[in-house]
Amino acid sequence: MQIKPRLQLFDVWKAIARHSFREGEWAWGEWGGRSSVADAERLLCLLYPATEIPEFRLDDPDITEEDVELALKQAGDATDIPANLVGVLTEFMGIHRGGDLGPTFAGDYYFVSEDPDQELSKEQRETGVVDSFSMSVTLCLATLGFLNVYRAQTNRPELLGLIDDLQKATSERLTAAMVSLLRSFTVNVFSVESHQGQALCRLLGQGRLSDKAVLQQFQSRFKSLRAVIGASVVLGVDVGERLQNENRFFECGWAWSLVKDAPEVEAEDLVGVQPNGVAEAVPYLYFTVVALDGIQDLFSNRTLTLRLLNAEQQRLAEALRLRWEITQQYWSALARFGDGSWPLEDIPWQTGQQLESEYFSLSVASLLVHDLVSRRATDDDLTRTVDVMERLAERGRITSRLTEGDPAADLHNSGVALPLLGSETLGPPMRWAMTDFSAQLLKRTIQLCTLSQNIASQDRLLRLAEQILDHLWKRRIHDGEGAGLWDNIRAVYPHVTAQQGPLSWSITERVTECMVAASQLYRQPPIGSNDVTALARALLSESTHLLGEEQMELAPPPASRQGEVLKGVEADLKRARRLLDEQRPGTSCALALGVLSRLDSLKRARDTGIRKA
Amino acid sequence: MLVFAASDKGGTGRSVTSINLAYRRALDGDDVCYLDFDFGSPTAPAVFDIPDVAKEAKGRGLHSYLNGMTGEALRVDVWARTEHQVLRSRPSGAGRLVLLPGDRTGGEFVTDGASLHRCVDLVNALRREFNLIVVDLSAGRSYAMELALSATAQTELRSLKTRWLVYHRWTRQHVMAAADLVTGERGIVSAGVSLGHDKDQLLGAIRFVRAAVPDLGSPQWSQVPPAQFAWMRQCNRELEGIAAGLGIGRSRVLGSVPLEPVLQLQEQLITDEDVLDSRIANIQTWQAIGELAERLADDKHWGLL
Repeated sequence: MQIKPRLQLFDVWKAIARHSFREGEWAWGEWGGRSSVADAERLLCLLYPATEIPEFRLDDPDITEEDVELALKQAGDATDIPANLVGVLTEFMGIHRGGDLGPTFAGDYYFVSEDPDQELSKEQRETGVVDSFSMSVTLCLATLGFLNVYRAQTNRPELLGLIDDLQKATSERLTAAMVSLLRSFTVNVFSVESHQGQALCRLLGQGRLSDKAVLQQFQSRFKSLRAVIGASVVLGVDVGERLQNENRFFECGWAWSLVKDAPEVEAEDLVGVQPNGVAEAVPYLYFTVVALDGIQDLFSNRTLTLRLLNAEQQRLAEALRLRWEITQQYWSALARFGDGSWPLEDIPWQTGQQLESEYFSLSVASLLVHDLVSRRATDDDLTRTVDVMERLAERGRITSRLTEGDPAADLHNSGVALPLLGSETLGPPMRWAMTDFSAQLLKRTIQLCTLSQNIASQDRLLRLAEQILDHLWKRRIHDGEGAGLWDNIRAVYPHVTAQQGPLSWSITERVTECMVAASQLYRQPPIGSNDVTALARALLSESTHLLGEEQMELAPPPASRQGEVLKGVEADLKRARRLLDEQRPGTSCALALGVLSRLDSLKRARDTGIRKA
Repeated sequence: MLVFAASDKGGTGRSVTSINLAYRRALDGDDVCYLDFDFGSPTAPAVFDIPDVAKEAKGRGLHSYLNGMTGEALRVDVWARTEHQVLRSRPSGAGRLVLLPGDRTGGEFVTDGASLHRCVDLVNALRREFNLIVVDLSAGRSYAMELALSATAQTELRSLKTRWLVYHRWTRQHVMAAADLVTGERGIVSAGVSLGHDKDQLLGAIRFVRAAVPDLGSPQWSQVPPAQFAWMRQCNRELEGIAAGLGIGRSRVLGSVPLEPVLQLQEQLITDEDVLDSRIANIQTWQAIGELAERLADDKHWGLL
């Protein structure tokens, strides 16, 4: 199906409003108010488009567009909606806060026990998770921007008080989330002989290189990154001497939560305490991708122009930016390691913990996309990534049929499970399940599509995106609570036994992100083809010439139809020339062709007259 | 409740729409009186279809009363005196509907202390009898407006709920003029403040009514060529932006009245018969005025933003 961000987002918004607003009042429902990740995702479904797409803004009731108001009718009119949002956000900041201990980032029901018979302890459920840190960064920035504008729209003292309180709580949460992100970043150093070292040798060597050759290439490829990490990554992480041993591999990224023994970060306006970490110092691909997604919002144009960060937060953002840069460079280089085929092209990717899945390939591809976006990739890299995307869609059974007993079903249904290393110190071991493969794939595909300047690649990506959206759109819940939201796996794989559970805010949120990305895609000018530009130029030259010839004839009387035709022709030609300058050669051609045929009909008629006479 | 109807320019349908509002509130059971302060061109008798009133009001109308030329202003019972076929029979459940016409013969109009007192006395007397007093002011900054502001600033009228409706057409010039009438130099707010009003309170009691707005969703406009339609929507959006920038955006709008032939060509009351029987008026207009009448009394739509 064609991607129509505006209309499809309204469908999602309508469904959310129907689900979450009862008679104009927000209702958290049975599952709401527990997992800070789910709650943040749920709020971002509304707030992210509202702050990223100008037409969707909700902060100024005077210019809220009619269809936006209509979509959120359940939440009130244009004036009620922002006031309602302030209320909900205030509740969110209150729920996910441990009083004087400061903001909390509990994963709650997103954590699952490895052993279904053992219940997770309260402490475990309340453990903060990188997903929540990252979502909080995005949510807080969106909230701050929203409040900035909304504050100027009102003079009611009670509402102004609410806004100021919320602004303060949001800023505190943002600082806490940034500090937590710093403290969950980690660098893992391991020897060639270790399990992990061997796994990396297999991955990078691809059976062609010896361990020693891999290590040598690794050393030279990552020499500068190793130096940068050793010298500049200090805040909230203890890299130590281990990294300096060149005979060891290293990897960097985000662990699943605060790393055990991560040093505290000093920040002036930080409220509450910095909890002790529990996670082992091992980066996870999934959490690394999630962290990068959130961190990049810290230095987006919007954050800078609206000046959403205070001085302290800017300092933290700088430190995060460094980690962001290093991490995406590292993984991008690892994904494309060596001279021949890329390790990334060898699907499925195998992690250091011997886990393999298409999901990890997608995560690495996502890191690569991050890197490609930030340094304007070459066409070749991009085309190869397109191949990977297409293969992932195929292997994930999105663009092909699911067979009986196909393991790909689990990718979407129960999801890929990650054991959370370190969680066992607090109770039974925990794991984390990712079920958003399709939504993630769609998001990266659209991002690549925005990036592509090559017509063939872009067309392939767009078609792939449409196929994935087709698949995702079918997976919406048909009826009952949460109708129109996600996830109803049986709609696409009828013979799968679906997992029971609450509706998936993570997929819903990813889909809204996709729509926001798609709206940015359509905002770009189309890629102009050189061939068509040449054609347009030739057509314009011919039509200009023929118009000149026509104007040599007896001028038409002022109020005649023929005079109107000539004026129309002139206007079209002028427009066609301008369009050519604006990289719209196709439209320019179409106009020029119209001009040619109109001029010809005049000429033909005149010629007939000459013959008769 | 006291409602002033103001506008910066003529041709906004201020009088016609206000009279329609008064009529609708009366239909809903309110006792309503309508004061024609538009001394330059009294239109109320024509809209209510009471042709004799103009003659009758000579020397006994509001103008003469305020200038002290008569002790009591003329009152006309609309239900009893109108020649409008539909209005002649007062529907059961409807409240009183009384017109206090203006007159042109009252001589030069001055806002001295005496006329101010007479004005306050009049309103005080009327509020005991009526739930709703609608005062139609003339276009632009006028003596009538100043009188209205000074009268409502008096302690005697402080307790009376007062609201202002500012009418403007949905064009760039009209939007700018309406904003200027309210917040500009010598506008309602600055004049009000100098007469002793509280700024925020006064601002909270002012709402705008957009008149003759082409409702692009209505069937009337569904036949417009696509290009023209796209253009109209874009213009509408731009205008919305201008209005918001001038502080008279949608959140300060009490309602919009669509472009309506009956209001334009005939300047008359729209009755349910016009909509349902002869079908000369559009149902959207009937609904828009009904909504406006409802919101007029609904506190939710008033007060500080």
